[in-house]
Amino acid sequence: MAKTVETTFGHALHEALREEMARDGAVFAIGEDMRHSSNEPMAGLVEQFGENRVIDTPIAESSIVGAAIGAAMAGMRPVAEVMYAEFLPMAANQLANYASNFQGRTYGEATVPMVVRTRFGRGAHSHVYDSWFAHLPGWKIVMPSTPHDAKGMLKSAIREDCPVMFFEHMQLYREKGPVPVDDYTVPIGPAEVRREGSDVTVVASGLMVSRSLAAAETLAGEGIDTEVIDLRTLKPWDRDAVARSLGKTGRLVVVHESWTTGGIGGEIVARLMEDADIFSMMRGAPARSAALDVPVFDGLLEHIIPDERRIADAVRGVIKTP
Amino acid sequence: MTVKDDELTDIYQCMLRCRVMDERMTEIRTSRGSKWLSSLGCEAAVVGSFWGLRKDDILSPHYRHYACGLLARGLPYDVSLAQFMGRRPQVRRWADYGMMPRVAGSEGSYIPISAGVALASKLQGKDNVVVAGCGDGSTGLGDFHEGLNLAAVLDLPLVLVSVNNGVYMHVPIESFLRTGDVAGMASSYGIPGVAVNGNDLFAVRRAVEDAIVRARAGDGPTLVECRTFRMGGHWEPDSVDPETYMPGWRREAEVWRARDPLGLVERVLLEREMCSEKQITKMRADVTGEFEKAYAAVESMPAMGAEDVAEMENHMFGGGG
Repeated sequence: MAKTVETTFGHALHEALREEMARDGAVFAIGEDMRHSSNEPMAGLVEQFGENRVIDTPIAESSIVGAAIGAAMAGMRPVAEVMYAEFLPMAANQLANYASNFQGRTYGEATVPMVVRTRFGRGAHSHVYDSWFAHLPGWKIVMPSTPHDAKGMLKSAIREDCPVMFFEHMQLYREKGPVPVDDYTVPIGPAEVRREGSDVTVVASGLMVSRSLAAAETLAGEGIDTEVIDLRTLKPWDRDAVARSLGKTGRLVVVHESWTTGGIGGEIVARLMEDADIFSMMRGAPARSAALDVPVFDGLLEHIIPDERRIADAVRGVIKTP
Repeated sequence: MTVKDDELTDIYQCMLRCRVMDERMTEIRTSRGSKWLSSLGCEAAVVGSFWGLRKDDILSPHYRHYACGLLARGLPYDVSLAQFMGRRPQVRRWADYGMMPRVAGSEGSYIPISAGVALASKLQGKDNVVVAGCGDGSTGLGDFHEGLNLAAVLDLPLVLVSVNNGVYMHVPIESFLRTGDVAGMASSYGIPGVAVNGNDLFAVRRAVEDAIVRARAGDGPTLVECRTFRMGGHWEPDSVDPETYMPGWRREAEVWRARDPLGLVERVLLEREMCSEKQITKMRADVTGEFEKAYAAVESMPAMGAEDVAEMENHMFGGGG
């Protein structure tokens, strides 16, 4: 059993950055307020690695991402930060039309090994645009829910040869969990079953994982045995893991924090139901529990994004459907 | 003189290749009911900016001037033509050719990306530079401001050459840039801005070379504005008469025709007895023959198809193939 240390999610991100920057001189951080940030992931990095490895920019998201694209094409491994996911649309043109296009349109002769880290989920900047950018070909999209995965997957993201968007939930920053002492990575792609069950499959990510687990505890008291799958990677998401689970349960609820309409929940449900074998295993219609289609702001956050109660209701709903 | 005597003939020949390509592609596309984005009249600005750079320098030409940019880089006609005729793009090895691949349409967007390539050069401790092109229309975009500002504050080895032909599509510069002064925007970023006669190869070369020397020395970016004039429409052919959106255009075009960039270089070649009239005429005939041969060869290449899409898919997550 590997030796582990209880580490916060925020500190786990810091360790990932520090270790990858030490390991590979091509890795550098670029974004707003990187050098003297009060945020945990960046703390101490400029002192350790110098100003050439930790770069402050003007407030200019489009050029932060654009410059990261160019630097990545020219042999560096930039970890760009878009401070809050709410600001991703300011860089949308670069993210959508350029980042992964270089790789495809040159048939791989140009590669763009860059990471865009961004934070969401609390306070003035709660928006998450994971679903919107999951639509783009060529991007990998990651949303860890534990400190272990935060560190392991950020390291993997930095080592990936394609653009990766890395979503960090601010409400998870202080959550503690076991993190191995030795060097490790968590692969991008495979999901993790957090709770085994036989009556229903709940597919979740980020903060929705712990809320789904809490809902599962409540539902257990009602005789409903819930399997909770933590996707960890939203693109490419682990269809095989979900299909295996559906083979047991035949019932599906997809939970995510971004808006319902056009959200990744729809993509996940569609891709599963398009498969005749999976469709035939279903014991009832699938359901989604996601943010209501209204502007997200902290004053009403808990009424907009799914909570334990809404997730449990969604499960009860699919159990009831004939 | 920043153009060495022994290279002037070669530079002229490159400008001639651009001219012949633009004239012939305009004819061919018009006859087939499609369009060509021409660089007619901009040969000094384009070749002056991109000629003779080091192998490890990176070029990011303006879309309109990309075909000519490839020629200025020393690539043969068929490479340039394949790009624009839907044949398997041959400019794949972007790092070998040092040409920014064109993958999407918005001009200003390449400025931050070019700044990023320049950033890599700086972080890697190298002295290769990035010469990026844009038009006057690009000055409207947020990315123009963001990219140039970022290059300025980080002292990046970037030379941004704005070919100002006084119009974007069918909108004259007075309508989108009050001052009409692109070089003047540089002072906002604390970097040098230089405006030159874009039809004068020697003036363009001087300004761009000075900017490259600065960039290589680690002194940061420069904005070079090449003032010129759009000799035709936005595309060729263009159904909208330029006189409608630029009153006086026809008269103005005649003034600029007398400043033809090739004409200026021809006069110098003749004055310095580096070429005779006969040799210049033969050069045009040779280049025309070269073009026709390349065009026929590229046209007979198979068009891109489903297998190209499949191959693209292999590369979309990187490390494929």
